[in-house]
Amino acid sequence: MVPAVLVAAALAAPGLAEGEDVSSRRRYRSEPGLERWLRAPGALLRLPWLALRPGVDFAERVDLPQRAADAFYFNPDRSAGWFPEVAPTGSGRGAGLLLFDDGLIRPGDRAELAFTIGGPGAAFARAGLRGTLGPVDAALSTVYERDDRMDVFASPSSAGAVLGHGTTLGDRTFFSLTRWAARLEASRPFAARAASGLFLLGDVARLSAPATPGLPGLGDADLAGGGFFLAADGTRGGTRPTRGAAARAELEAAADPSGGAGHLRQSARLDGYLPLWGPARTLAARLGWSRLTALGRRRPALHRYPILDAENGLRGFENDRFRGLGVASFTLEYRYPVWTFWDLFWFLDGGQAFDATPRLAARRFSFGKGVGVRFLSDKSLLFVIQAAIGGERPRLQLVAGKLL
Amino acid sequence: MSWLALLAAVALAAAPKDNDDFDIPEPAADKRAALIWSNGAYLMSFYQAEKALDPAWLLRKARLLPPREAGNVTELDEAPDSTWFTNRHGYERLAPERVAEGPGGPAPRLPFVVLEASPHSENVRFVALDQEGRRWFVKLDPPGRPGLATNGELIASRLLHAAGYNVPFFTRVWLRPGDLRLGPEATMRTRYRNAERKMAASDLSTLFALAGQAADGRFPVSASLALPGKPKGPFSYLGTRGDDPNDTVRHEDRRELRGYQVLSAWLNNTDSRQGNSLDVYVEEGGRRFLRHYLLDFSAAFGSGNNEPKRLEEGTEYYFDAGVVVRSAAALGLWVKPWERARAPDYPELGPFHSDDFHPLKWKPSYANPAFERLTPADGYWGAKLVTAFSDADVEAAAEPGHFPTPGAKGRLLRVLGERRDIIGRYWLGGDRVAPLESFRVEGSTLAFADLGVERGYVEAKTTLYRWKGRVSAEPSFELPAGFDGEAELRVSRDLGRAWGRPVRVRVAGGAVRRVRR
Repeated sequence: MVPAVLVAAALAAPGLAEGEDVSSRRRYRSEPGLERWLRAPGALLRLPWLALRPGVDFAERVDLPQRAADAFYFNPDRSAGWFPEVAPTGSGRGAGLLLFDDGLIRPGDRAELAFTIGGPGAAFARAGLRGTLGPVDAALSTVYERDDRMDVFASPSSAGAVLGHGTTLGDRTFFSLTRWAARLEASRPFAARAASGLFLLGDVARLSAPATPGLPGLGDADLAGGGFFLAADGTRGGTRPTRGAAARAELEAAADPSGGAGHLRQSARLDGYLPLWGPARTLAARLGWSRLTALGRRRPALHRYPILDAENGLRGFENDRFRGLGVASFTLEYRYPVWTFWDLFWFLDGGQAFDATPRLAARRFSFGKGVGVRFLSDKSLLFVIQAAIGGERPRLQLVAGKLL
Repeated sequence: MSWLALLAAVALAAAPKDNDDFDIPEPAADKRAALIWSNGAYLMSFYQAEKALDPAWLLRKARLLPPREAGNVTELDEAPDSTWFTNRHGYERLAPERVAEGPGGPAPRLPFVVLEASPHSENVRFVALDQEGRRWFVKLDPPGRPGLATNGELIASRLLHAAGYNVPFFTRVWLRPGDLRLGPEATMRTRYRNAERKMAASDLSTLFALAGQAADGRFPVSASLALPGKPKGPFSYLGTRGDDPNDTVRHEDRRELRGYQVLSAWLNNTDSRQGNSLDVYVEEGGRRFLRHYLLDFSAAFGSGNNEPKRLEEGTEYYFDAGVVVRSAAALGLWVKPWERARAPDYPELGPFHSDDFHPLKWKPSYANPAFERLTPADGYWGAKLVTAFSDADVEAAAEPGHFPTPGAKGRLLRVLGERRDIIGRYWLGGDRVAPLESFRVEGSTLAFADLGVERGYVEAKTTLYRWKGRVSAEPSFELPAGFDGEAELRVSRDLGRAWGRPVRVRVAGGAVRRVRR
């Protein structure tokens, strides 16, 4: 019998004759056939890829993502750095920078400075310092704001303490604001995740005459005051809060010693997270309430009027669309994961601005609804893209940082 | 029997051999192929879209066209020995000691002289020469998890080698910081890819500071011996290599690369991608040609290299557009099995389970065109390799592993055994393929073996075989006198109520000539 090894050797690759093509001697080969041509439409997709590939290769070769991320920090441990700040509308609109340092004074204490410039008549800057002094958490924040075109929606018939209701986008008008403000806050934890604190504030504002007469709260307002707050955070889930609640309530009194401005402000916010049928399927909800009342015979300054969309609470409408002596709002958001770092959410927002007497009524509520995607990293929420409709212009927003 | 028939019979019985080792000019090193982002990005996005525009692919998905079978199978539907694969354990079982040896090689003679180090890559690793001048690639485990990455390197490489794949030789080395010397020209990668700086003596301690340490203070590392020959870059799982005249079968149509899906699924080797392969220009028997290797198994089992695997790994691509779309459309009602909470994992194993393992639904982290083209015949071929490993074989391969947590090794062996049996039941015990083997004509009888029964995945007493209306409880059929033609055999596992897909056996001249599934 012929040994198997000899047979195998006889079938193995022998040498090639001079000039002989290897492929002609190969035992196995893929035969091109009709299928190759059937793939032609799909192969067209390769054209854009061929254009993209050099960029992807370059990014890998130079480690562009790592370098780009590092470009935002001033040191390897990333305790100091900068981020761009962009706000297309609303208070602080414009583009600018945020500078921060978590070890400028002591390790862990945060110092930050931010500014945005929105054109010749719009500039915004804030500076802050937050840290601990013995058992007390302390924070100092200051703001400079100048904007010649602060949005306000009012019509002659709607002039009063509720601005926005009953108006259209065509009723947009403006007032100008120049303001310096500072707030000093001290708080102390009284439970594992709860704290109470006091604050002092100074707020010097110049509000000039608007195009539409009859707007309340204009003029000079050199406010000084203070207040206290309670805050608790019992949420669980890290970058994807899935259960628990967080609440904050604040009471503030401020008055202009030499003028007619002054107010009492009460505000409260409650966030809740309810786990649903699967991991990270969550119903998130927020209730918000903020109300100004006149302090004695003084009247609240316009720039301190609560805004319904101040914390992205009414996404189907423009920023500053509704403001009044008080606002009440709610948000319901159903979230679920679609990828490791992406959560899809559907939301319904509703809110109402009201005057001195809070008469909440469903017919006076404005509603917005929409859908969005939350983009997460291992450590935090990076940004949110959301699209909303509320009966006026649809809005598409990109928002950085935590919203709810 | 004539000499010709004898030669043919012997040739079919011998380990089949491809002839892809013709002498070829030295190919250029494909440096671009070593860039892994574009390959991954293309295969997980544009390539997936291309398939959606391919009528043949769509017709096959709808089962309106027969599967496109592998392009390099022998007459007996096997992968031949080649520069890609060598039939070993699946062809003739190796003793457990041989499985444990892997490709075989020397132990490095310490101390190592470090040439290059990468403390910031997926794993802390370095390239070094031992005192014999041999070049080694050394990989360390992440802190607090000694064994996590290196167990995969050592154990999976041995099992894949025994199965037939070309892999480097990996060995366990126990290092102390004094076992490293700094080479005079040593460089260290910075935190950026492809950026290096000169290495300082203090950097040696940095390597250990970032690594997992055993209780006795030593560092259990895996060391792989440099492959003989000239490295020419990784091979693609799609298409052929243009500068290799021996490379005439599209890689996505290679049986051993398609079947690698089954082995990768077994081992949970989610990093089975182009970047973890290597073509090496070798000289053997006076001929120079490319040999094709699989590399880097530190993401096997529950390891995610420098951390435990993310729970979705093994069920989804790193970015899986199909899963994203389906998840979005399901409005959160689709809760994937991996999302459910589990008991804590062993630190040296990471999440490695069998309870939600499905051989066909398993996915690597990066889309792999060869895996996506797996047909039942390819899956069956891979399952034959996997189920050839006994518990003793697997235990022998696990010998160089490091399992400081009591029970961890037992858990690994148990899960490997369970996943192997799930693969066996799926591919050998179901109706997807007729798992009939060893076809032979004995006198006037066509006899064969039933791997499903032999390997214990189905019961013989409920199994029946059918050919041309004849049903047999025994794995053989009487052939008509002078039979010359194709026998289409089917198997039932439920006493004839349902019959699986056929296997076609061509008989001519009193011998089996061809088997197709």
